[in-house]
Amino acid sequence: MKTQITGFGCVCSLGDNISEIRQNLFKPVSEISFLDRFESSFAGDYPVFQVSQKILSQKDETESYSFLFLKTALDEALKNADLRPEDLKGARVGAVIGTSVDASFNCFDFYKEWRAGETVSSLDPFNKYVHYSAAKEVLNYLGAADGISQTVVTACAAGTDAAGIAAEWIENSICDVVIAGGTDELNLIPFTGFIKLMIASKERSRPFDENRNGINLGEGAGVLIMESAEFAAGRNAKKAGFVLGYGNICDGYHQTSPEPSGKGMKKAVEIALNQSGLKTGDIAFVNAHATGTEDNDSAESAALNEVLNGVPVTATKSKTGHALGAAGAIEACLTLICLNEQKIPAAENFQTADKKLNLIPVLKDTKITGGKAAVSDSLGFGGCNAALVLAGREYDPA
Amino acid sequence: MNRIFIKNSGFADNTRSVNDFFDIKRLRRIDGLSKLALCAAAKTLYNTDISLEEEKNDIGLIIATGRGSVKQTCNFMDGIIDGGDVLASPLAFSHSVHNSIETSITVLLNMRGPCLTVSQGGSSFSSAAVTAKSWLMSGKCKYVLLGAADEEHPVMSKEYEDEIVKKECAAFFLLTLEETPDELIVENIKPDDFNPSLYAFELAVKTGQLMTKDGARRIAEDFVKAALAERKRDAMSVFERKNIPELMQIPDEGEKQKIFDGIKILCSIDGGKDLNAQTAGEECFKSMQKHNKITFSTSGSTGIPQNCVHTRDMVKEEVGAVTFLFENIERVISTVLSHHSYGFIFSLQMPERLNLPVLSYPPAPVLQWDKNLKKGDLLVTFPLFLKYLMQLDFKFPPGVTVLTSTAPMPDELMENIYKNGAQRVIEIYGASETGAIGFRENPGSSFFLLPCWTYKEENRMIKSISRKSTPLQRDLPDIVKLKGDRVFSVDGRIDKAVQVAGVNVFPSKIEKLLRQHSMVKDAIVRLGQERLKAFIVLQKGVSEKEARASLHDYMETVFTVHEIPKPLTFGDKLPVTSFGKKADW
Repeated sequence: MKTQITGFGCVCSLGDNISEIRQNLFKPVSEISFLDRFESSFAGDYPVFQVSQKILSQKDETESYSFLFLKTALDEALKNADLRPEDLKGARVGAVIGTSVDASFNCFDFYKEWRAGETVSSLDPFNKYVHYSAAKEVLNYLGAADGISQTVVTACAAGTDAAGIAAEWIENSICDVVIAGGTDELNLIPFTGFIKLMIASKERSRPFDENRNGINLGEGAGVLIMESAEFAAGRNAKKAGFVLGYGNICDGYHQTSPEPSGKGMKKAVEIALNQSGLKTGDIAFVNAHATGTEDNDSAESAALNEVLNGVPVTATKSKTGHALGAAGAIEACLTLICLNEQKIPAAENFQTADKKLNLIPVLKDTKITGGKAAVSDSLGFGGCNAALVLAGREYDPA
Repeated sequence: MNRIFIKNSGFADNTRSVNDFFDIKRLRRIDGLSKLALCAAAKTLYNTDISLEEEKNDIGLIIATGRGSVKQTCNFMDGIIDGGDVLASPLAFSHSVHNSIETSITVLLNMRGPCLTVSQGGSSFSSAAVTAKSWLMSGKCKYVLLGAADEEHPVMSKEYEDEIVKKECAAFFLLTLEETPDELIVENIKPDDFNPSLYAFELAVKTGQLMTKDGARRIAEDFVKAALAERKRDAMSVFERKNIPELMQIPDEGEKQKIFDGIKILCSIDGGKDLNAQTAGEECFKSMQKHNKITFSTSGSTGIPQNCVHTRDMVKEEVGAVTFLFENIERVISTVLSHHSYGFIFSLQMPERLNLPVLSYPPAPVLQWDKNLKKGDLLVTFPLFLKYLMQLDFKFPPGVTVLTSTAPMPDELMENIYKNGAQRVIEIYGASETGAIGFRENPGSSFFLLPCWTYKEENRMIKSISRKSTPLQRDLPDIVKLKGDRVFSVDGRIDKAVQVAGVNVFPSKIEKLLRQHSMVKDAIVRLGQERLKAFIVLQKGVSEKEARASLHDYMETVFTVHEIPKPLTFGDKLPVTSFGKKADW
């Protein structure tokens, strides 16, 4: 697999665009924030990573925050790829978007009013939910409604899966251009749900630390424009990176916990590596899923120690929070930034090594000295394991 | 662009059969939508050569769900509304995640390959099919199990109560690049955002195998039972034997071969194939999977024995046309054999379509039958059995529906069945050639034409009927008078001609004329070895010798040479099958 990425865009707590994120990715996060967008008795206790007020304030009443983030990242990706809607005429266009909140019935205020037996002022929130799909909206936004769309909902692996499937659609000649990405917003349902599952942390998340105690939720979107070699060459598109491999494997183990030995994740990484034709030594670093939960970090480190032993591991969720269905797409963008900058950012908040994990993440920003590609992986609820092998713009596909 | 094909499909709109596939303990924490999907997915794999238990690495799983487990999302929100966020249920949250269906399936069906869940309203299924194709094309997996599952949305159920057809359903397709009769084409699906999985459900109903493994075994067993019962005085003893090897413990090799030859015709098995008691059921399944048809052999009571071929599409159309009659049924109790058209549809195919459990019992009329029946049951049976039950003054438990064939049945019998407690009596009018044509529920009333048929009439008589969706067209074997647009009465049979030395003759006309002879009490006439033969019951006190002489002269006078039956067989009563139908001799 050598799918060309011609542009990417991102919005998350690190910044409103790639340029801001590039600046902040290699600095420690100094501030923590708490939710004030919706009512929750937990709001003051659990830190979150929010998109800037500047972006949040742009929300139109008719759209979700998730779509606002997606649109923001999409605009940037299109601009970076120098791709205009008119370039898509006659092309086979696809959109694959991962999400969690944006595909769910999360109209809490509407539901509360409706359930109370009151005459709801309008069924609009419900109807919008019934007819809405993030991926279809992307095509509509591009004026390519006849294209193929797919909204992927493999929980926390959705963003990685979306990018992988988009690359497969290009490789298998299903599409000439695919908009891939993920988007999610902070929302009462997952915020409460993760707390009730006792996997949310009241402190800053500490991936792979012996005293790790859970995730911090985040939000945002990442979008990658992928094009077939012919289509990209036809319009003289520039290179922003490559997807070289994608593997996804299910654990078939448990509703919320990963298979403890990490064999599903190991297999997903192996498949992605095989597809890329690269060896362990070619991998400069891993941007791990690294949620900071007991079970996830344990299974993931077991897998990485086996299949990518000795490869530096970073944990960007310690800087962005866990953006659920968007996480994989945001992390793919961050991985591309790292490859293009030739730097690996430090994982934050790590203090004590866990002997059981045998994995210490990168603790200071580190220059890439070897390896031409990186692995970005995700573990989703229900045992969804997904891994991408990504290369930067300097990679020579020949 | 590669084409993808359906190796098998399965569907479910209720979860009745989920315990047939999975240990109940493993289902304890599984939500309703996942159970629905598990039913359909397990059925899809079970009827192939893929083991449910073994770990599966080369099968990809893709779930399309328009809304996911929305009831669990609402449950979770209910918890917050009722008790505050501190009391919200973590279990409801974990089940509310869109890919919880995928998880349940990978865990319970031991799938360890690539997996994905797609959710985008009414286009979820067609979108998921694109990635299924992509995975097969790239060789990522050998098969893809593509499924669709959705449940009713509580808000939609109330707010759109009268406007939208709501259906909770799941459907799965085992997809492959190997060519099968069913290609998966999803390009022109019109998205239905309110019923996202309905299209897939209807497609699975249409494309599913004609026969399940268990069903194929059962029709082969029933064929053997019927063949043996015809030859035995104590026919009921045959029904006590459970399987083909047990049934086929008969010394006569010629008889065995004849039975296997019949099974070959029934299931379209190659004539040169060697069948034995151990393999017959499996061979039936394989052959019906390949040929997608069943051949019913008529008894020949109306003339020459015939083979009536029913393709999968014909069977599915018929089943689709009768299911509305059984909406409140919870279980099927069968006394009929499944290798005949009536038993095949009503004790095998219809229950499969409605996911109803089936229990079979020998048609022995005893008062203890009430132990076999309970509220919500459908008793699939035939008039002779019901007649014997009524003679015993059998009382039906409350809430039992009786389904009977061979319409029209005597009004008095139907009245008695109602009088003795049956909640509903449904009488099916049909034939092996056509399958079910119409039904009625009251003695003396007219029949209603089933929705799968159109008809041609002449002078308010239905002359021929045609299926709406399949190329099945037949002249009716009976005199059928129209009483309304789709309402009719059955007023007797139209005689059928048979050919003797190339000349049309009418066995029923000859029977009628034989019965007019003073020494003859009753008679059956059929085509024998190239000419007609007759079985005659004489009036009391008449000797066979004097009857032979008299009949010879009589027949020479009233019949043409082609009409004269030879040989004549005499007996105390007409030969009938264990189900009361006229039999051969």
